[in-house]
Amino acid sequence: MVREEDVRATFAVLNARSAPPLAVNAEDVVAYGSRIRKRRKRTLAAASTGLAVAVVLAGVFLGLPEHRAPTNTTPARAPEPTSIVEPPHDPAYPEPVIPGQR
Amino acid sequence: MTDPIWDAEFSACFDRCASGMRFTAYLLCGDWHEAEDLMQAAFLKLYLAGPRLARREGLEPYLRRIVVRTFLAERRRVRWRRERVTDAPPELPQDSALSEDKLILWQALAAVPARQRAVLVLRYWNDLSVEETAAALKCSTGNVKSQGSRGLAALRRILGPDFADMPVEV
Repeated sequence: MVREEDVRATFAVLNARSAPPLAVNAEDVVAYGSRIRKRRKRTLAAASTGLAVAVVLAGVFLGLPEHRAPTNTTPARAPEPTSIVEPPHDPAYPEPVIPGQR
Repeated sequence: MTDPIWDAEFSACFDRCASGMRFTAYLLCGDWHEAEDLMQAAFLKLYLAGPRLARREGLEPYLRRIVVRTFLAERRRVRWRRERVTDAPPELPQDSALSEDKLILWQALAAVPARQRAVLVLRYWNDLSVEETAAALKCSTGNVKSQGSRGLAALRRILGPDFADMPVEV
């Protein structure tokens, strides 16, 4: 029959035994942790820059005229002539004479 | 950017708790090398989480929780990926300080499922209450009770009826 006391006693005896020395110290963990933090910061900065560039490019692309949405516009009226200018008389090309007219 | 105050607090915490955390990890995994890895991973997580911690007192329970959860996550990962499958017994004591019955019990503990073993270690080595164990394992108190009794039952089943006849030194 295994009792709780047996388990406790086994753990206590194991704890009393000599354990191998620690292979890491606080400085190692701090140095490794600092490297991870720097790497995360760099990755975050790169991702932010990429995202900003993507947003700007998307804005520029969507702002191009062919991508603009058509708006309701009315066509302008055709221009009307405000004055009539007679063409200058050129002697090289006499005016045609229509028979029966003077 | 380093925080010198946190670095100093962390170093003091490491000096105070490293050996105890490694031993808890050793009881969980049964191997000193793996225990050292678990301890190191737990301290690294603590160091990275440190600046975000609202309260920095009582780091030891927090650290113990990380050790246990890292151990359980590692066991799940190993089982899922079927890595490091071995039928080798846990690392045996180097000296003969362990009497025969405790040696047998220690070997039998290795065969107990990871979660049940975690409950046994937290309850009977770290002397945590059922509520504290439940908080460490992120489960209900009922689950802790059932896992603990199943763990002891598994030990009884593994050790068989002859274990009762062995003299027990307390």
